[in-house]
Amino acid sequence: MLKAGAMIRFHDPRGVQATPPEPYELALENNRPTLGLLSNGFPDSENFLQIVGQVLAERMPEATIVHYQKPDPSIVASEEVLNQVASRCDALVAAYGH
Amino acid sequence: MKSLQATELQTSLLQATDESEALEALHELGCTDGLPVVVPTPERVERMVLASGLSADIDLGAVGPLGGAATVDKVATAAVMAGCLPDFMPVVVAAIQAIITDEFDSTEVQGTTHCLSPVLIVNGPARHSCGPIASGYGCLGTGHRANLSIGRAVRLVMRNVGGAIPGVSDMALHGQPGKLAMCFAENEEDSPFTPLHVSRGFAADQSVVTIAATESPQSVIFSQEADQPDRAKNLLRILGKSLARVGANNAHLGAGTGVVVLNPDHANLLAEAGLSREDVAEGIHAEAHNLAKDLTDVGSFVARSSKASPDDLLRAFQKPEDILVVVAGGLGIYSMVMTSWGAGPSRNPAISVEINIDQACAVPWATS
Repeated sequence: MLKAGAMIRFHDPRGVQATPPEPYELALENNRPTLGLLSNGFPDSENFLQIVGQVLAERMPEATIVHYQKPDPSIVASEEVLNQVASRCDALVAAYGH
Repeated sequence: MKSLQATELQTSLLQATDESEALEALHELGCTDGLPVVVPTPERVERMVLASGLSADIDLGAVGPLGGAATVDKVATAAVMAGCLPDFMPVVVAAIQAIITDEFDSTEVQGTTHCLSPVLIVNGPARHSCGPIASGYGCLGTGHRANLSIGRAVRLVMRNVGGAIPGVSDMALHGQPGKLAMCFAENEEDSPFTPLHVSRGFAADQSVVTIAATESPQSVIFSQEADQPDRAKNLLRILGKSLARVGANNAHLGAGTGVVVLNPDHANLLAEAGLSREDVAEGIHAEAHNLAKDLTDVGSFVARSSKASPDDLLRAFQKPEDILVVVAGGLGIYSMVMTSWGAGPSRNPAISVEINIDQACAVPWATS
């Protein structure tokens, strides 16, 4: 659609990110980690973590991915879920949808 | 408010063979709201920047969720695309200054699965000098260029600079028509009350835009004979109950900003009963509640209601100041309410920003 040597120029309305993303520097020593993905119960957080899980599985085939989900976004995660995460996972990614 | 700072201007220009192709390119890039836009040629954007009285490279602040820099250049680009006249630009700039505040929290407002979108309420001399911005018949509808193009410009900044793409980063399940544009002025001339911006701490001769992220406007019908002794009380009651409808977020969360747009007849009815704007907000707040059991009976998922005793009154807003009472619209039996969201760390407050019309420049519009 956009051609070289065109007759008309116009501004690109898209924004430029003002703040660069912060690099994530924490690392795991375990070569075969179990990674927990905890959604707060909103559909957007579940969808997001599904994709995160797929990407992690591709990049870290040796990792075990475990999905957790709160049944109700308005309450804190149950002791049962927290104990499962603590006993099983080397790291947890929590996603907040709303 | 954030101080204005110049930044390294990163204007990138696209190219096309003609305006039609440029328009299609903007659609393909996802930079429109689905409707045709005015192609933001450098000449048009330059005029809009000039009208703002600001330098193109001034960064008003970051718009979430992308965190894109809302430079005057980008805001002017959106204003051109939306169909603004240069005269409208000071209102657009002030509205963006409100959008970028931490309290408004554009990342949360744009990212939520809820359908909220900002409504812009304009007070003071800018209603005339930056418009006219309609405050009478159909002020929330069609046919008023300033209302629609100013509101649309703000939405285009939120989409293109803030990176709010439906289903990707704007997670509203359905969206709503207000995501195209929602802007009107208060009818100060026919209002019996002090103007909204004066109630919020500004001088009467200042121009101010107040924004609140809300749901779509909903009609409230009310008509009673003049000799009905309780009609002021009944009007407050029906407005409060409309703002506390059990399907609204704020009924469950007890927070957010509600907007009540009184038609002048309803406003005069309340004023004749001796009520000020603050009294009206207080009266509506007092009526905007539900019994806890009315919320739990419809399956409220919010723990707040389930912790309460069944007959506890749960208010739909934290305080009367969270209900913006505005006078606008034609004469008759209908007023409007806008219910709210009430979530996020700031709980969805209203933000008022002065419109700086002294620094604005009169720039004739051009068709080139």
